[in-house]
Amino acid sequence: MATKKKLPKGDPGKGPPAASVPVDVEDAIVDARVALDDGLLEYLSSRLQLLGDKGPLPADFSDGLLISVLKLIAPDGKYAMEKGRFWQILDRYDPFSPWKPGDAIRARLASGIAGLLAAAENESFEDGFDSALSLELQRLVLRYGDTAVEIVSDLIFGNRVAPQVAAEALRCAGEMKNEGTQEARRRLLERALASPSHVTRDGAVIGLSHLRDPRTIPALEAAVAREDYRLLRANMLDLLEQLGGRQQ
Amino acid sequence: MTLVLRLIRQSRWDSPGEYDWLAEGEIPADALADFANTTQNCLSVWFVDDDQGNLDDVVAALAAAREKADKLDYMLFTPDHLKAAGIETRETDGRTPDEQINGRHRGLIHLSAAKVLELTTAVWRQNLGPRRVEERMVVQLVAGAVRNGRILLEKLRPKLRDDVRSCLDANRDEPRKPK
Repeated sequence: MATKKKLPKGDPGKGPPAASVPVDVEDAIVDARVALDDGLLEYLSSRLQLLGDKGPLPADFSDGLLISVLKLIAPDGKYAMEKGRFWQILDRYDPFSPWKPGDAIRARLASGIAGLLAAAENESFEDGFDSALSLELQRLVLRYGDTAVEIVSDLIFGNRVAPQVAAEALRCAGEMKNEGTQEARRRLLERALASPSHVTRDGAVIGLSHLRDPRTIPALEAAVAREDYRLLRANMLDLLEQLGGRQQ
Repeated sequence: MTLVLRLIRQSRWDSPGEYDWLAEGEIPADALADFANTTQNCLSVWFVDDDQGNLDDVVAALAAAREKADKLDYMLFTPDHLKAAGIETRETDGRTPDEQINGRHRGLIHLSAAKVLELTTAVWRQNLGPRRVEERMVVQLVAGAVRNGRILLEKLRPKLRDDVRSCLDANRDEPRKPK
């Protein structure tokens, strides 16, 4: 159960005092929802006298607050945040319906993703932190769905992507929480288990460990059988065990 | 006696066996990347009890300082390698949400390129294994530290906090039996 939060003390007529810039937008969203649960409705009702006979539904306030926050953090908002992170948050609260682009847009998208992956060769990736590449890839996958995943796949398997960049893209593909593209992302990760680069294969295993889909067991078992990198093979076996696959 | 922990990327320390292109005494260059990324000729390491009794606490603290749940790769080795390479250490507070573990942080200071290479070579040849803690276990360790009061949930970044909160909720629900 949520803990009680202090409600803002506002000057009636002027609205609540200006809030400080949110340290993190997710905090702001979560705080807004928690505050609502804990009595914001009563607060707004008493301050603004919004309640009619039946009063507005809590969901109305919740959505209103959410939309206000999202406007602030949108790419052209007052507190604009990185595009990828914004789309990620938006998708979590209001899942996207991916858009199937036509040929011309697909070609432009492919060129854009190729440029993104090439530019990422100069990026340094750190475990436990989002990268510029992963944030932008997530945005593109949310917006263009399987098409974006297919383009990433074509580029990786066309040997046009540096192994460390491919590994980051694969990790990102596994980490995303987006059901609409789950199948395409799983196919990409399984295919990457056969990459000639052990760094790329490692990225695929990390991605699959995030995905946690037992349907990957046959692909993992085949990968274990041909893997000659000791630690990587052990990681594959660990994942197989967690997914309920047979030991080799 | 303590052990030294350094965060690495495991794939740099992996190999299919012997490299036939390496001359005697040489090591593959990839591993060097985990020790050569110095800042002001200084490198960050963590001291772990030699019985590894506080290893999980150190891993949890390191993971808790991140933005999101992710696998954590590290290398453990003995401080003999530091001594042999003539490397000085300095006590400097770590920056994790676990105040107690922050005291286990050390800076390897006054590093020359030669010392870094000597240390990497020694660690490549003799270590307690490059290890990986996978993402789910990382979340459990951080959740354990939160449950024990070592780390405050509020100090975690939102993405990680959500995962840790879910883990705590799941564990809380686990013992319940259906009515």
